[in-house]
Amino acid sequence: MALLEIDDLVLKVRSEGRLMPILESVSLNIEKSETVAIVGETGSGKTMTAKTVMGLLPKTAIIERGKVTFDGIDLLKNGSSEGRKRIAMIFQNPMSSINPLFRVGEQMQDVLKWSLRREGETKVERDKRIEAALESVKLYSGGQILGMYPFQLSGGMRQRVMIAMALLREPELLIADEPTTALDVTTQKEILDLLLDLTRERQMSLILITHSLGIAHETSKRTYVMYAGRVVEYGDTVRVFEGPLHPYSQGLISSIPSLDRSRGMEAIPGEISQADRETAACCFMSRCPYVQDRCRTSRPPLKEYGQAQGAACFVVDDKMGR
Amino acid sequence: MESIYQLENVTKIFEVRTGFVKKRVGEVRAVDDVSFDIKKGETFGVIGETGSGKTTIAKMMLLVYKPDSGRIIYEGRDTSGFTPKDKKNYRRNVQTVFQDPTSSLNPRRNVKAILEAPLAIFHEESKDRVHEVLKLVNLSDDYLYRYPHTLSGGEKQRVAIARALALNPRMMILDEPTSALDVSVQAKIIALLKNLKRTTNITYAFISHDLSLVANFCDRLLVILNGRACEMGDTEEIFRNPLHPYTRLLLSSVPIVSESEERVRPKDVPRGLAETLVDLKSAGCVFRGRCWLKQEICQTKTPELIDKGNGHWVACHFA
Repeated sequence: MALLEIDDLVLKVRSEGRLMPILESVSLNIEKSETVAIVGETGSGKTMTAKTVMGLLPKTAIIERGKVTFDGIDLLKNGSSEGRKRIAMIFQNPMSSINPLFRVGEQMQDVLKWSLRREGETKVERDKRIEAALESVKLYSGGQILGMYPFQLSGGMRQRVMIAMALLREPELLIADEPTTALDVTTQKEILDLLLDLTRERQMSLILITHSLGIAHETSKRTYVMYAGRVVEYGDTVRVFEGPLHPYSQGLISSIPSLDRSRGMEAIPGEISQADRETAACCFMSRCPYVQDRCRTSRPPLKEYGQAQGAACFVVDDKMGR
Repeated sequence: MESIYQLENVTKIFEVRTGFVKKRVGEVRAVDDVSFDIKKGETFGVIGETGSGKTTIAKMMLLVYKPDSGRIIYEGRDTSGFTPKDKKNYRRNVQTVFQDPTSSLNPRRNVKAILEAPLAIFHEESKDRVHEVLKLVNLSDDYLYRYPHTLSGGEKQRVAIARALALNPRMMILDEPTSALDVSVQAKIIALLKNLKRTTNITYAFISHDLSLVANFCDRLLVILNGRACEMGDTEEIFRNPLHPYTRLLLSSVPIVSESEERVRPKDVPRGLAETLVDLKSAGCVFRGRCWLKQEICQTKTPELIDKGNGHWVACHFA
């Protein structure tokens, strides 16, 4: 059984008296100690998917349908906190997740004192746990870091502090939402290498949310491609990148700049519109080069084809389905 | 080919002041002894990480900052000797596009007013020109009366490019014009810029931190770190044969999606380089804190940018 399973999730947000569709029947699963990437552009719904798992949805959000289960615990019902205690999440901008007024050591103490309280634990014992967490992100070095304020740290160090705080929970699943977007390439590589090392050492599962296809390719075992609140393609990362099925994944992959100068950048024609998000038909029909009549009237289901790769497209279905 | 810009040993130092009396407590050498020239009609890339000084270079070229030493020469004339009239003329010919279109477009003006503003300054007929430049950036006339908040990121950046084009400039300084955009939108903006270049023979200075993007867009490159030039040359040559260890580190850090890119990435860069803090004010190589090849000489002597042939310049004692 999968560690985390999202099944047919439909999420809407109330805005100006209307219900705006945010997620349309999103299904996703992740196994124990697996690394999965969710890629998509702005507004594709990747962060909202993660927020549903963490129970961090805004008050205006309404879950219309669907199930989210973590290790058999239903996360959308009462008693979900038992499950959520075993999941941790880190965000894009570490500066907005760390309190700028408190030293690193104090903030980490607070986490252990309140949220992760153990009966009868002394400060010295808590210090030990903090030390271990900071050691594992290679930041402890004698404990100088404990007395420092967030503004004294570089971007990469702040993200390491965030990861260390997440590790205090000893999570079985870590959700990293664009953890390196604000960082330089060389620092980005260090943070990604660190995350991968941690997942190996701790047999932790990792969901990496990113808009960078390169990051998804380099870190994950499986990839989900999202567009307009739907999963349009998923599968083994190598297969998705070498043989993308869905026209959107194909377009996305050919639009990224490549270090190999002979591969040009091909843009996807058109732009995503509000109508694409709300349509009951295929969300990519207005930009798709292979569009057919039925794409405009009904919605292609997400189907799996052979070697654990799936796509939601009628044209692909014709080619692969038989 | 003729140069449009020549930067000669340009240095910019920012003072660090603190306290009530603003006592001077130190200085930051944002740009340190950088020289390069940009040829007419080429796309020249400046690549570096946060704090490398790339935006300071752009601001000096836009006459926002004055260099503390060195000269910036535009079409044979030293910009420090410009009269106010020269400056006005210069700004007409050198336009810029910034990183974040949301903050560079006036939210209270519609697209028409935004595009008319530069024309009004030079008392130029704007009626036809506004339509022309909108067409150049592939936007229809329906956009004329729309306000920035109703536009998507890509559309806003197109308007910003149209505004820069309004006065028919000879030179455009692009400071990370696509880093706030999604990849599929980025591809469109880059295609647009390439297309404009074909039709107008404009010169671009392109400032970026994204190596794969630069590989696809620039003819020549300058790699800078902490205000100092590390490597300069044809993009082709630098990607085939990166000489400076910092360039090699950058190239090996770029996340890639295909086998053919793997061949471009240098193999000799060790994993998990620890950074030791170095005093950047003293002499020595700016990369010595992370370099895996460093020797005694790197601590004491600052390497000069030397021509290694084929217009490939590098500042490393061991390259």
